[in-house]
Amino acid sequence: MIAGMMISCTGNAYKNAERTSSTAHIYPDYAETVVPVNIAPLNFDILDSSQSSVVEVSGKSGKLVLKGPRVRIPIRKWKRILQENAGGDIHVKIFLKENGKWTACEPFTIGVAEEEIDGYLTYRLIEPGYSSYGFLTLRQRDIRSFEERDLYNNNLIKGRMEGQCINCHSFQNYRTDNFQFHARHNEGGTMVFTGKEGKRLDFKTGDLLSGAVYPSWHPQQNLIAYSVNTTLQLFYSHGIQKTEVYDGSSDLVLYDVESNDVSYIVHDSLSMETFPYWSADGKTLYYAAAYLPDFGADASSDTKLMTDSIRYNIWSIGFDPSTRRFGTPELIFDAVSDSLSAVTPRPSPDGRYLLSGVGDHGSFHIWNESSDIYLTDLQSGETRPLDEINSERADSFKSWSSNSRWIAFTSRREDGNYSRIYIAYFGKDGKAGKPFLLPQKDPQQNKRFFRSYNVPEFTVEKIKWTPKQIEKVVLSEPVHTRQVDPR
Amino acid sequence: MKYWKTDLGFAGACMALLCVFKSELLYHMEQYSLFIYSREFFCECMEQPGGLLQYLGAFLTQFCHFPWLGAALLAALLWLLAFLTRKAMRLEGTESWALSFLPSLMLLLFITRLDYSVYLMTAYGLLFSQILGLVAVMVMHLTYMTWAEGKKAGLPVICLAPVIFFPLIGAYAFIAALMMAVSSRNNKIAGVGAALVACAAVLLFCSYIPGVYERIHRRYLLFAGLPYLDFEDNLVALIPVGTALATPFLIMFARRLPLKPSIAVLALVAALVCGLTNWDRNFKAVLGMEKACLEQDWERVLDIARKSENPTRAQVIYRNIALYQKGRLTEEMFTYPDGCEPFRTGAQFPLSYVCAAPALHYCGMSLSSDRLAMETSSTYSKNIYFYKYQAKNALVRGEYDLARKYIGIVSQNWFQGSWVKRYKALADDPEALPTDDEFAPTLALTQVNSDRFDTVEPLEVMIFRRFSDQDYVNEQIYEWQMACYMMWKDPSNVMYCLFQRERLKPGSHITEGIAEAAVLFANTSGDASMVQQVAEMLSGHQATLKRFNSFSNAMNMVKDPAAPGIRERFISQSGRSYWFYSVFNEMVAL
Repeated sequence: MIAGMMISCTGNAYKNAERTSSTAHIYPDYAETVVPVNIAPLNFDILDSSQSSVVEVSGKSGKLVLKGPRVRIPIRKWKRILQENAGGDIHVKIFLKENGKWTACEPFTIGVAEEEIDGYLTYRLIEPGYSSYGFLTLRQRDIRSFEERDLYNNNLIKGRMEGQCINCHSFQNYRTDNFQFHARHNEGGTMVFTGKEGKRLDFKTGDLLSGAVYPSWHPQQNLIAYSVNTTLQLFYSHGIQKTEVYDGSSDLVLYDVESNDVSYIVHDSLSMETFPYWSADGKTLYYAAAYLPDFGADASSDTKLMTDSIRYNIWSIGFDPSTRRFGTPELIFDAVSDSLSAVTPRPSPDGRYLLSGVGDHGSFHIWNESSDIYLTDLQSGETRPLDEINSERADSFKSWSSNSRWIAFTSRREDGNYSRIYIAYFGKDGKAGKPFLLPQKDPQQNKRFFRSYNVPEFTVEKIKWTPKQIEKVVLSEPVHTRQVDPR
Repeated sequence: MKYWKTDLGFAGACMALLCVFKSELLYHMEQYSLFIYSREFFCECMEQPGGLLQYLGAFLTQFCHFPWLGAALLAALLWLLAFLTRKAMRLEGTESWALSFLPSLMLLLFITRLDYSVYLMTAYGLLFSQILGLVAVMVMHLTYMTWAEGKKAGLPVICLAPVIFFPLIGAYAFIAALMMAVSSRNNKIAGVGAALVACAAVLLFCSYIPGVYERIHRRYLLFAGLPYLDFEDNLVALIPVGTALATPFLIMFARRLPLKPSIAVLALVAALVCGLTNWDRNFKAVLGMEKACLEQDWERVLDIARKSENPTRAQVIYRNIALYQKGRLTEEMFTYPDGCEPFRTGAQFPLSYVCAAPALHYCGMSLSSDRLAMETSSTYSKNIYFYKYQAKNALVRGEYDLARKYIGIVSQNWFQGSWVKRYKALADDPEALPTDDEFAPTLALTQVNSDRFDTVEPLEVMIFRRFSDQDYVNEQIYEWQMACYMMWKDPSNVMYCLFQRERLKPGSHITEGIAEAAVLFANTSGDASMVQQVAEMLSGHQATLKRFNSFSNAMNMVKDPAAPGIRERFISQSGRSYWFYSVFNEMVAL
């Protein structure tokens, strides 16, 4: 039925094309990937030069024929093809005309998983300029289409020169009723939204090292686990490694959204704890922790030695939601024994697996070329690099979809500088599919867009707040927290 | 066509002024701009009211790649504005026709008065956007006067003008509405009131309604389309634009001015343009050096440096880079005047905004160069200039995909073909880089300890500190090491590096500058064997040794080098040398 819809100007000459074993070069590379049944059209460009080209996208029934090197698939027809082929494959044939002769390239398939992906991804867009915030944006993308909107941007409240650093957005259990983010510097604070209420928190209280940093909202209760960190940054003047972000010290705290009370979870002067993340049942808190090496006299003279020596393991600590008491820390992934450093633990919502970011040192891996994503099987305790999705470049922040079948993560594999979001299928057998670049209406956007995608977080629904509504919260009088003893 | 001679003279004068005296500025504005033929770029411009002016301005700025062409376009637009003013303000056939040139002259003054603020531009197309804005105002006014003035439609047109045109031309839509209202013969008070209410309603709507202009702070809405943000800390620079906006209202009340007074006003304003134009030679020199560096025309950089008696720090940095590229750093860097002349501008900004990207790039500090380029462009605006250096930095680091990405964006702009061709070829054939005339000296400098971190310090210190390791690596690094220690007047390290190199590469050429430093430091060390060793090493520098004797004798006669006239006497007797630098110059000057 769909066949021929777009073919009217092309003719059928390509159907007699000579078959070749060569594959067409397309951007982005969607060949042999597995995609969710509700993903936006995988528009792509054919990079091979040709006089003209035709693409056939076919499934169980029906065929979509598109002409030209810029393959833009109409969304409704794409949705229909995906629906019809859920649990199966769609086949893509590319025909190229060169010197008046048509050739058919080696076809490829795209697997269509039955499991849907959560509809929305929220991420931060940032120029990788390290310490300037010309135009920082928190943005939400409907990944079933190409619709994208600002959650908040730092040009709204202040002039360009007085910008805020917006970061660390976190949602409660994939819903958008309760969420938070930080805005630092002018009118700074932690913005906490619960239903229709929003408040600006002045988090620094008592003997905490800093304001709130890396967050994780408890999946059931109005509690947020934060790390508090003294973060330092160094810049290389030459080489591939661009910057070094590291903590001088850090602790974990628990913030009660209703009472504004803050108490320590882990507070150890000999170690640094950071990147807390709740398990889906809310009974375990995962985090990364490193012992502070004793550098002696070298501490002030060799910063590189110092930063290179800090390595983290992944730990967990039990939590009783009824009493709000924490148990005893337990080592989950001993990366340090292998001279590695594991951070940003992310347990899968089904509780079976845990993803972590692993590099050769340090805690902040987004600029660490060695950074890869590792998978821990929480049943067997085994950990392995998730090579199916890793690349030579930094692969860092990641997020599970609510059904544990999809992983979204950022990677600098495109060019080493500007991170992009990739999505990969994660099977019940614990193996991931080939990752694919987040679809864009015009794939060349990836080449023209000079900002990095940061911290992709899935949600199942749209954020109800608009930037101008959030602006009021940011400009409101800050609410102060109160430090209390842990239970 | 009655005024064609005046029109021609006006356009010619504008073009001459811009072409002859402001060509470096026009080229700079083109490099500090960006135009991408894409939906995203158009939408990005239109995210702010007045975005169409910015978009068209960015498009036209591309022509400033050839300053004469940019000057011709600007002159043509300035003439068009004068022509439309004459028509719209009904000055044709009156004795006050000369007043029609006033808005154009004010905008010309705005351009010619631009100073170092041009390094802090946030909007694209600044040169053209203001002229286009006033042209739009005049077109709207002319249309109103022709079709709606005095008719029933008059008041609705006045009210609708800000609503419809604010997204396209920003605050210029308010000016147009007010002009229409003020020039109405009937119901003037109602018209002005309606225009003010419409403008206020538009501003309130855009400020507070969710989903409308959510990427701009409301305090800028009133000034949308005007370069307010670009001159936030240098508002004086905006006086010509403000005057240009006010001029049409003034003309309304001066329409009956007789011929002679109106010509006198025109002459006075023209004289003001000449008098108030920014004639700062250092500014022109910095822009000229910037262009020459981009084109690797190092002789041109040195030519400009020779003409500057009191240079700024930016000029000194460019000069040192050019000297290094020509292999004459330690030979000549102390023979030029040092510079700490301040930037003449009302804007406040560090030196790094002016020249960090090229300076750090050519010193092999590709990441530092990238970082400062990105930070400056993320704070202000992305532009061709920074993308070019980011592409070159990526090539230095071997990140060819990244380089291609930057080259790709530069290639979207017109007139960049030859640049794109050259660097794309290098990205596609990286093996050519080590032997490339441009990249070979830069790559040599990257062999210094690559794990070095940047520190927060003045740009010059950042560069020199990078080369403050004593170990000999190669001739290029040695050149900067010696320059660094000579600049810091550090005798022990100068001598250490000199002897170390002599041990590793005996008989290597010693530059005149290093010879001067060596003989000075050996003689002031009180170590006779060192003096003897240096004398042997400098056997080919007999003239230098002789000159040092005279210098030494002359210095012995001087009780206080800081006494009046002493510095000048030494310059006239023996010119500039390292000895002169070491005695008379403060290190801060470099």
